[in-house]
Amino acid sequence: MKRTFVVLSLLILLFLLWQIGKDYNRPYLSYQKAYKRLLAKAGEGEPELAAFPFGARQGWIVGLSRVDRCETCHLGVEEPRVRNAQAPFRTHPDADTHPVESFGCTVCHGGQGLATSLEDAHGPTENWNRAIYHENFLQKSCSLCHGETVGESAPVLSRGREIFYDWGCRGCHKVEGKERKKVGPPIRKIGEKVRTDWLFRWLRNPRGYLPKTRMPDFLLSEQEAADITLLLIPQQIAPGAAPAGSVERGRLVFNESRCVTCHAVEGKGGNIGPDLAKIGSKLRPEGLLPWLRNPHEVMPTTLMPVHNFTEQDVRDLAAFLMAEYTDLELQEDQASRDLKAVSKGNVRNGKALIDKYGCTGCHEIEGVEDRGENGSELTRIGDIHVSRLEFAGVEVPRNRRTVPNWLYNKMREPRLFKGDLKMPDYRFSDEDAEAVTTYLLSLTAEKVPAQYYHPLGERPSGYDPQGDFGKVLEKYRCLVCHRIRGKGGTLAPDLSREGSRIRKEWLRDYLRKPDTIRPILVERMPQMKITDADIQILDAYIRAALLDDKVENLAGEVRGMRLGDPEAVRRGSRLYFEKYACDACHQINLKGGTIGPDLTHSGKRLRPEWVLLWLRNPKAFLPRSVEPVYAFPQREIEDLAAFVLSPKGGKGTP
Amino acid sequence: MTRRPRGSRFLRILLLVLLSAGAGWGETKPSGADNAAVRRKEFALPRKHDSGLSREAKRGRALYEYYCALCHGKQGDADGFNATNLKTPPTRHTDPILMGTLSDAQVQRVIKEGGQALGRSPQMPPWGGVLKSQDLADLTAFIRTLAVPAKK
Repeated sequence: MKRTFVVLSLLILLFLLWQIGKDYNRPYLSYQKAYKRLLAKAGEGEPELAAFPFGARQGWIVGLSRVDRCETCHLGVEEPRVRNAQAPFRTHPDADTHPVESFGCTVCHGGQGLATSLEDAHGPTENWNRAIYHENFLQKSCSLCHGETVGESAPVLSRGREIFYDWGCRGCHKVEGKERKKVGPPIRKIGEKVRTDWLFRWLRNPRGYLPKTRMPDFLLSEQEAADITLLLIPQQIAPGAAPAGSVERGRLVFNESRCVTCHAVEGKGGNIGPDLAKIGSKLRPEGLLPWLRNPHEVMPTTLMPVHNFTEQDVRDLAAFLMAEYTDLELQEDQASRDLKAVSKGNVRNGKALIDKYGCTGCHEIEGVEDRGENGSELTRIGDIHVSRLEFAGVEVPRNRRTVPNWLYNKMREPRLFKGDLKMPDYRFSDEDAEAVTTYLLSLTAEKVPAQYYHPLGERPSGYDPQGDFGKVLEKYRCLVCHRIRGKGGTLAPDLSREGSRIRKEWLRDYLRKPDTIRPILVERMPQMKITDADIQILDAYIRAALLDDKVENLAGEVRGMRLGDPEAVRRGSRLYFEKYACDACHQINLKGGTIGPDLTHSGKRLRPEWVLLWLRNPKAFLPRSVEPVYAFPQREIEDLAAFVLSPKGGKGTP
Repeated sequence: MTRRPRGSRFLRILLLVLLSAGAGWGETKPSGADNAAVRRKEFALPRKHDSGLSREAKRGRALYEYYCALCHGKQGDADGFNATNLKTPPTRHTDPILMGTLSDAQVQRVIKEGGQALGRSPQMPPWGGVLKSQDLADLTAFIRTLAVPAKK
């Protein structure tokens, strides 16, 4: 009895000592010791080192109701002396804008804030769904406070959002509060427009025809593609005659109109419209005519402007495109083999397939009812529990089974987890798959209190010009490339204050026959045969409404300057060529650099007030300008302005 | 109890192997076969986009690509699209011997005050009105990554 008592007591004592030892030797202590050594190396004083506080550390972020103990190991988060240290001591790169005491860590990074061991804190663990986010997906958290239109401050998130809405994800997946737009062209009388065998090949492999298309690959079998083709083109229409036009003249019209600004051919050109390299193998010979006459009548949502081609232009252009750009890799008997396959199609199955794959999410299809979204709702996909995601046949170790990883793989290969799913394959690059995943993760019910809400980026613009000007902008699709007051594209100059920059006469001439101001650009203003009446409307509006006070206020000063003085022009010329070497970037009469615009005719093009403002500070007019800010003295500004505005000989001098 | 003939087990295994091989042989190609076949059936993990650059150099790279690469080239090889338009070719930042002769302060001064500050071409404009001192430090940090120091 006595012996048992002694043994038990000893055992209890040992257990006690073991527990004390275990408690003393917490896993984070090794990190803290290493950090102390790092501090010593960084020159921390002896008394501070002696007082180094070992133990768990935590921050209580009252506003976000979070308690984060990450700093127990990540000790150098706000210590600039260890900024080049390795993880986990590295200094936080955004500590100045996102101080730990106001934000903590987990609100952005995920993970389990209360945990003090690496495994538990970083996850994933059995009972903590939100593992720490991989840095590639981290921008998902930016939208919590900054809104999802955060723009360039979170490029990955922005790219993901852009893909989600522009590539048609919203067509099949509901996201509350987001409008469903059909991003593909409407399909009406498609049999009059395209060749049947092309449609069949297109459905089977869209990238075979257009390597950069946004149309995803539905991995259709030959039979499925035949079923859908037959539904869309139930009756073969006899092929019409090739357009009777002059190929040579068509080539001229093609070049003059600068079609390559939007359409690439053979890899060169813009990407606003589809690549035209194989268009002759896609369209029926007469299918192009109505489109070239007025694309808006065929497809109201197209980005293509009305070119006001004459009937002869239309025929010549069509003849040129059909003759010049055919698919050279297509085998001779391919078309007849494809047609034979299509003839075995089944229209009723085609209809069922359109329902199954949700084609109507992107395309309005004549004669087919749109049944709304047929994919999973994604409003809160960022909050989903990993147990609700099916990994099915794919072996994934538990510590890799996270929501972000699942989504990322789904984006890379939509049918990875199960073969018979309906989601198509967009052939995303790894970067794009990451971007979409990041956007999806940002779709959560999580909210931050008002004091944390700090939207960044450009708000959606409410600019919507009405009346004649609005109609002309629509007709020529000006805002596809140009931007006015926050609305429109970014390919071409922002026109919000164009009336203060350019001279009236020049604008009219330019709209009639757009010249080349920047010699090296591929994307140049297309020539659209804008009618005189439309030019009148554009000119009046630009001159009256698109002005900049900073420029207009200089009118008095300009009147007092002697810009025509030949002596000033001569002095300005010396400054231009010798002192400042402006010709490093600007061309005059084909000599000089090509970074800035050509200045040969700048006297005809630019208003003196604008030149004055620009020479003082280019960034005052255009913050993104690459022109250096020189801070010229006033005398030099006057001389330079005199030179820039003076006639410089060469072609077209008055 | 009947005695099994010798080799029956071997035959059965052989049969199995043949059968499974046959099943694999006859498998229909996945639909959209042309490109679907090459896709991998594996669970991929996100890969780090590590450029090996410090934070300063990363910021510097963005500035470099925006302002400098037009002449100096994206990689600092003096092959920007505007390089051939210049009377004096731009400095090659990948040249370790040349870059070795310039101190950080000198590099920053040329950027800030232009080529004339060091008695060189005025075609290199002064960027002091655009770039702040932190920008200059970032740019210098990036430019230093372009030239690999010559080994002796």
